[in-house]
Amino acid sequence: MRRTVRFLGIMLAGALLAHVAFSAAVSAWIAGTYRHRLFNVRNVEDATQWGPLARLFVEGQSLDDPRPKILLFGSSFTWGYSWPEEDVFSWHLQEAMPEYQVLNLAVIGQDMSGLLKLACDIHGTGIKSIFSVVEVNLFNLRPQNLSLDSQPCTESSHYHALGGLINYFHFTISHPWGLEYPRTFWNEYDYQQPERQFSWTPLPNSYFPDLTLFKERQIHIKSTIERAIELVSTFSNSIYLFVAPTLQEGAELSKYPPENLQTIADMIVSFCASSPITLCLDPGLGLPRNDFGNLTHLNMAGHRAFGSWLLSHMDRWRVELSAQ
Amino acid sequence: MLFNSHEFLFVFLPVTLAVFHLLRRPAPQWAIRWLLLCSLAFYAYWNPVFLPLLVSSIVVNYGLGVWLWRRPRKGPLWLGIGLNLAVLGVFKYAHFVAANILGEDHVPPFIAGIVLPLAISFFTFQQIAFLVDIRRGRTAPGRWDVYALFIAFFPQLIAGPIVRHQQVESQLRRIGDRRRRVGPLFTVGLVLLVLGLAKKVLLADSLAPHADAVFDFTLRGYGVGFVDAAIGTLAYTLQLYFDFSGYSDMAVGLGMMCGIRLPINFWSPYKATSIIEFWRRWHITLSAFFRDYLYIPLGGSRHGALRRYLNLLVVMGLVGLWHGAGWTFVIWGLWHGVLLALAHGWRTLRARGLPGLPLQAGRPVHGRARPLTPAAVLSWFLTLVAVCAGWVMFRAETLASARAVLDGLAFHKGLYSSMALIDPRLYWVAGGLIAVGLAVALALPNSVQWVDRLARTHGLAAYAAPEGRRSMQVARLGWKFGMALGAMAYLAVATMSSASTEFLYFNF
Repeated sequence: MRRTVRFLGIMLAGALLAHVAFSAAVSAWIAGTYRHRLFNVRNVEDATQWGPLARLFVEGQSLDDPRPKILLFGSSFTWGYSWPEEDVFSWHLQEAMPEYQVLNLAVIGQDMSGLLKLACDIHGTGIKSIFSVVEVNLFNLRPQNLSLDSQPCTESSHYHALGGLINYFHFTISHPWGLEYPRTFWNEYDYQQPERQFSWTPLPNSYFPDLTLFKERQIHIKSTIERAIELVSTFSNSIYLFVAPTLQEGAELSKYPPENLQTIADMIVSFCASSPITLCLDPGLGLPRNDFGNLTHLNMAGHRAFGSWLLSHMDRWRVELSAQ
Repeated sequence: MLFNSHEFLFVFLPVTLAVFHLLRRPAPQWAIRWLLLCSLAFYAYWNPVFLPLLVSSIVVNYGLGVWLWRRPRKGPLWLGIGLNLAVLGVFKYAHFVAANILGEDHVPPFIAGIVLPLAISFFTFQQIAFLVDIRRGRTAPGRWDVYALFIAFFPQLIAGPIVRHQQVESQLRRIGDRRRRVGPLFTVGLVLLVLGLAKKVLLADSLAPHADAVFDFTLRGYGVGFVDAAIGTLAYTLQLYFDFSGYSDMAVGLGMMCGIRLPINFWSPYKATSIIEFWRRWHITLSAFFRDYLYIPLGGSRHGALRRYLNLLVVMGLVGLWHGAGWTFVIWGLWHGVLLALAHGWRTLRARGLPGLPLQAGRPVHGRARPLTPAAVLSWFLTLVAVCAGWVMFRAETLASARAVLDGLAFHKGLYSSMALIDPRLYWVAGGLIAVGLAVALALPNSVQWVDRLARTHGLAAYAAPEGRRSMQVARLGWKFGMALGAMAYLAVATMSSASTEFLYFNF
């Protein structure tokens, strides 16, 4: 019995040592990664874990910066997959508006329910933004997952109980502190490879939004977009909501009718239009092929052009608002 | 509840074991009933709707067993076998049969809506074996609670190993014996639990996305080049092994932590140098079940070569069908039937002394490792290729998907004609993981060999390897091993997703 207990003790010591060593290594890595990088939690499957990370990111970035904030929400499009930070349209917004601090909170693969959770977490930080930019990506919308129930924001237990031992262990032994972390930060490495070539290949129709499903679930989509606007408006004075552009030729190459994408984009814009503090934008399908890296992602030149396009709408709208 | 879930490892298991070991010596009968209660709760946690099915199956089979014991006739035996197969048939095969007769779109809703109860294939087979063994006079029904625990025992309930009544009944009866040293067995079991968990979480779950990417790609109707096909096939080959053998290690380890030795289920199957040997190393308890309760009753090898090969085809076809109600499984089983028939035929030719036949065909392995001759290497390679080709059928959801992967392996679509993994860098990741997996599966001792030395140092008899194979005695109960195991446990637990992935064999 004594040998068994001794062996268990040794195992426990090994586990604790591994925990300390692994957590220290990963923490150092995260700290280094977030110093000059965008917020990204790709592959963190459990959206409840975005909360602590998003809060840490926003609070960490804005701690010593008194400038008013501009927050960007979206998916890989807004995140700038897979270009360096300075080649993403959020960077161009920052350059054009140095009086503000632009924080890109896009998450690769972000869907609408993920966006709602993230907005709740940002709401929980108490940080206010002068305005927010919200991207709606038709390829990530996943209408089948949307619900009509508008769940109230709940406080993130992980965050508030970090001082508590139980929650600490819950947070650290589950995602993303295990070997999943290298996968989570996979995209950070992606930054190192701006020369990466996208491929122009036809994609199966299952990659594209299903128009029938969108029509069937339009009441759910409308409700979710209104809920997103309502949530974001709790910490933003105004909102710019845009539909992420798609390359028309890419859809045609895949034998998917591009007009379906336009129909869905029109639907999104019409749902958003009822909010007086929101400007709803749709860049349409007509962007030039040279601006795209692949079907749904812009290249560096595309990000520059998109940033200018967005700024022109912002300027115009601000003039209109001030005129009112 | 899954073994690789936080609620199992940190709530269910500690509570179950603590109460069990507190009760074990003062009230062994209650200790057994406690384990039974926990096992039923473990099953019900997945879906309580099917708990009555499990309980009624146990009650009916126990009743039939008692009847058979008192009046050993064929009637109750056939009644029992018929009832068990009928239940299995309704839940597992009704949809398959209806879809093949009426067409997939015309399956009646009441059949299409049937949900496969977890573990039904396993507990049905154990109960059939129980009834047959009673008829053969190899076991007796014994106490009801011991029988119920034999079926519902949580470590082996969901996906085996398939246990015979006589293997655990005497152990359960002696559970409170003061002369039994449970501490060492507990330690060895814990080591197996950690090794199994690491196999599942660190290896199988890491390989899974790459195998899935390739097979999902072909399911959408695309062809794949050789590189994609090879990555998909090898990733799945290793995923399945680490997943199922990891589960089996955990099951055996958990059994030991409760003081019960369950039979081992894997013995380095990918080191086999013939398909006969492969089936002595892969899912050992299932192979033994089909051998003892089907192949031998069908006549085995006693009625000439032709009948033997026919028996092999029938048995392996049913092995395939047992794994799943689908033609891909049947073809996989028949493929192995053909390979086994060829291997036995080859062995017969060799036994007759025909010259120029270098390849091995199931020569039993005893004791030390076989010398690494070119013939042995070639035999091993051909065996592994044949097994991998079989797994393509096993994994593919449709015949078309299987054919696309096999076409890719046969270079019908060139070397790099597709990019199923989407991101070019993932090919390096997948290749690295496959290399690590192959090294673990082929170059390292298996889990049981790791713990054998541990068992000896604790004064336990070595965990008997199948067919007298001796272990390599590698693990010592020292601080280095303990620390390494602790670190492995941490990484496995930390990597576990909050929504743990299911074990593949839960589907069968």
